[in-house]
Amino acid sequence: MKQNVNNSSKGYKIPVEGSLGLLAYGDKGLRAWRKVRDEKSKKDKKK
Amino acid sequence: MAKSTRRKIEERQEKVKKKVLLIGWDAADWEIINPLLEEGKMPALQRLINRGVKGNLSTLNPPYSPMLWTSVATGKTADKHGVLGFIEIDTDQQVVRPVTVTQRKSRALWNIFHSQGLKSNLVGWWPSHPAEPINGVVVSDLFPKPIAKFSEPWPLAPESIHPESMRDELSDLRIHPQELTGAHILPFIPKAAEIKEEDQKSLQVLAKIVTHNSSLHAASTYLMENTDWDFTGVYYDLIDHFCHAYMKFHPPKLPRVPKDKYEIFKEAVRGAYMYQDMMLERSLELAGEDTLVIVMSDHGYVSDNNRMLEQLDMHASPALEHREFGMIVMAGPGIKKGETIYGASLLDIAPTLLHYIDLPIGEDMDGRVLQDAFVQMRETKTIPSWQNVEGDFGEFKRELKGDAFSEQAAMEQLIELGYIDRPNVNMEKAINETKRDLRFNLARVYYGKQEYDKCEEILRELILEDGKIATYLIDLINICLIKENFVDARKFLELLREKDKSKASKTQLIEAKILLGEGNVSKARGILNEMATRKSMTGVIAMELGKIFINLEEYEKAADQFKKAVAFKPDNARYQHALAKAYLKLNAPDKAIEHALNSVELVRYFPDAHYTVGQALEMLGDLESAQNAYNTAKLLQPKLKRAKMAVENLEAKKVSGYKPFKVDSEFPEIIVVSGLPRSGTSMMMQMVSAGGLNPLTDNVRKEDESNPKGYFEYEKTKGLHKDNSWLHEAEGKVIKVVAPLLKHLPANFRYKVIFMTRDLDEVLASQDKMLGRAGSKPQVGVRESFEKELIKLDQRMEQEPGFDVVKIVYKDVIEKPEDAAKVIAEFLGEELDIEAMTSQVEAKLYRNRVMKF
Repeated sequence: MKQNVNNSSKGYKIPVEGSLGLLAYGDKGLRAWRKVRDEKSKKDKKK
Repeated sequence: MAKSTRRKIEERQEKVKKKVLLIGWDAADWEIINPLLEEGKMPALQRLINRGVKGNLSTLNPPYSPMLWTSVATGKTADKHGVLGFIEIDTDQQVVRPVTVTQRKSRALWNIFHSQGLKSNLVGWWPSHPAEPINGVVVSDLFPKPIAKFSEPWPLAPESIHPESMRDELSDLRIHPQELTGAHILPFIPKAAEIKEEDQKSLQVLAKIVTHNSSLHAASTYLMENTDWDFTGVYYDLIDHFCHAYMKFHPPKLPRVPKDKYEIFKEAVRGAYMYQDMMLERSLELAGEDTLVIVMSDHGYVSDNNRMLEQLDMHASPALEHREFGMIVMAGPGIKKGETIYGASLLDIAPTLLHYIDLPIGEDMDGRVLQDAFVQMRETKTIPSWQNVEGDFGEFKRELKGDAFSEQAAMEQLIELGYIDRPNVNMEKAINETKRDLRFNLARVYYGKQEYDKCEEILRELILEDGKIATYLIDLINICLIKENFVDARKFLELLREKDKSKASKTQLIEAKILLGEGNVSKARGILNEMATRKSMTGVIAMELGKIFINLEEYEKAADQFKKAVAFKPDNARYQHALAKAYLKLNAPDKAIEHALNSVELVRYFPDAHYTVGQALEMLGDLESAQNAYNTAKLLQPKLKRAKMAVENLEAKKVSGYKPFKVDSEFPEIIVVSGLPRSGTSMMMQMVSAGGLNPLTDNVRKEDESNPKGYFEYEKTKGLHKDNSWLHEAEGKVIKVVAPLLKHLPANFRYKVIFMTRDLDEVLASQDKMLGRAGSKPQVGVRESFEKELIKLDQRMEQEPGFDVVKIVYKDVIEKPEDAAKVIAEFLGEELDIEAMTSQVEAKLYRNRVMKF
């Protein structure tokens, strides 16, 4: 298992499918992932 | 907020702020953590260890998490704090539901902090529902539990958040299991795609556990970032629940585990630990290095060959997999670095944190401050009890309005884990069963605290109510055996056999113990010998057999049984230690030390094993190392009196070069005159009394022809094997204790023993005469039995550090009484009246002399 949260979050691309690292980062990681996921979902619906 | 509380807040703000982060990892165990640390797979915990202290944390009986975590929060055992199991009865609704805070009758840390104006965040503690109205935020254990269908409204369980104003901010931090993707599952189960249809449920279980814990973690990080706090407590059940689901697949593979399933699930448990470490990293980052951090578990988890593959059909059987030692790591301001602490219990967490915050600990708390963890020891402030302190403690005092939906979800999880049986559909029956289970748990708390009378009272009541009678009976029989009530033990054994025919081997062991208690040694031995030959014998039974052989002082046989136990389970520290002790009894210190060292390597917190290491080293002549071992035993268990005495002896030995007559001791001393009956003990009592010592005697037994000058006995001595509570009456005095009872002298005194020896033929002749059998044939085997008894006695006294013995030959006293008196005076280090002592000896009393040619 790789810890894939970059604490500085600079240059870290949040994957749409999320990661354990993001969940481990707590509220911020969770919300950041959901944002990316939901935006992607919206885009997909528009297509 | 009350004015007094506001004032306390202001007062505290003037002081330097001390912050505490308490993280609970249910079931975390060093046996899994250590290899992961070595592989660098738990870097956050490793960094915390590097800047703090670590150690084992002993658990309590029974090891049920809601009881244990409440003990962590209160510093008290469950009989005092009131949380007695996984479920409770809602008397209003007449239903059973998961245990809530309303059962807790003792104030928790956060209640105490509230009363002092400190702010706490509490997340997921088990139990913490309904959220208590404390100064700070509580996210109860029901917060993530009621799971609605995905994409449907998902309301929070009522009263799961305090204050209510935080509900909106926190509710979206719950993660639904169906939100998880392969990216979340595959790190735990890389071959998830290969899972067969029938095992798909295990993926749902995994998703639930991960989202439950991730939700609580998200709430805790949010609160740590966005609130001002003095204390944050977060509880995770991730590791425990992963272990219950996947430990059977953890490497090495067990023979009965199918290979395909093993390959799929083998990384799950390690994965849980690594994910827990990732969450720890974020928590530590938010806490900062000026916060005192404790990461701890309530118990360990069996991960060796004794893992259970199926749950047994008994009360809370998953808890059978809980190991008695959890873990603790503690780091922060004022904490030592890179050291190990010993002897910590989960009861010590609350007192230690109160002490750190400069608050007094309640004298009614069962734990102690872990002073060894601090760089500087400070005196512990105490108050009689926090329960008696007036004021606002932020407690939940209203009636709890049950919420069927959330409660059902939590109940289902407990049933899935096997912690509770599905409640009877007949609610009246379900309530009665729950009542009995809770009372049984209370009985087991008393058993663990060695409060056997209270335990027995409950068990006897439970038996009358029937229910799971066989379970109650086993504990009740054990109590009867402890209390040497063999009549009732037998009665209950018969009842157990009638109720549960499946426990054949268990009842045979009990039968043997009862027979021994009844004095039927030969029949007991017959059963034991038969059992000892069985191939199916487990380590547990071999261990029990060994202990019985030790009691019978048949050390060879005992060692054979302990060897079998060790062969069955070499990594069991208790088995290794038992074998070491048997070897000591067999005068084989070289073998003893090997096994004693094995046991302390397996469990460092094992004071008795360190003591055994010391004994073996002392027998081998390495006094310096022996003293170190005794000191370790003392450090780990300050109540271990034998270790203290052994150190005192070695200190004195360094000065005098031999076993000293006068040890500088903290223990009170009793002078004992002993020997076989009719070996001159009464005469010796008479001598030392005349010499100036104060005899403890009640003159109940009057002088007679056999002892014309009296027996100098004390009635209570005859019952020494049952009750030694009176022995303090003998402090500073001299008391007569016949040889067979010497082994019952407790280790909280030092004994100067004047041991009378006399030709055994003369002893037997004198005994026969006294019993009216003069001139008859000697009893078959009596002489041999006395000889053996004396050899064992010699050995026993030699290995007891509190015993200092001088042997006085009866014949020498008769022939040279003055010399004997002088030897005794020197041995006792007392100024005795030698002339008076000498004058007590009358050669004409030397009867039953045996002429030898």
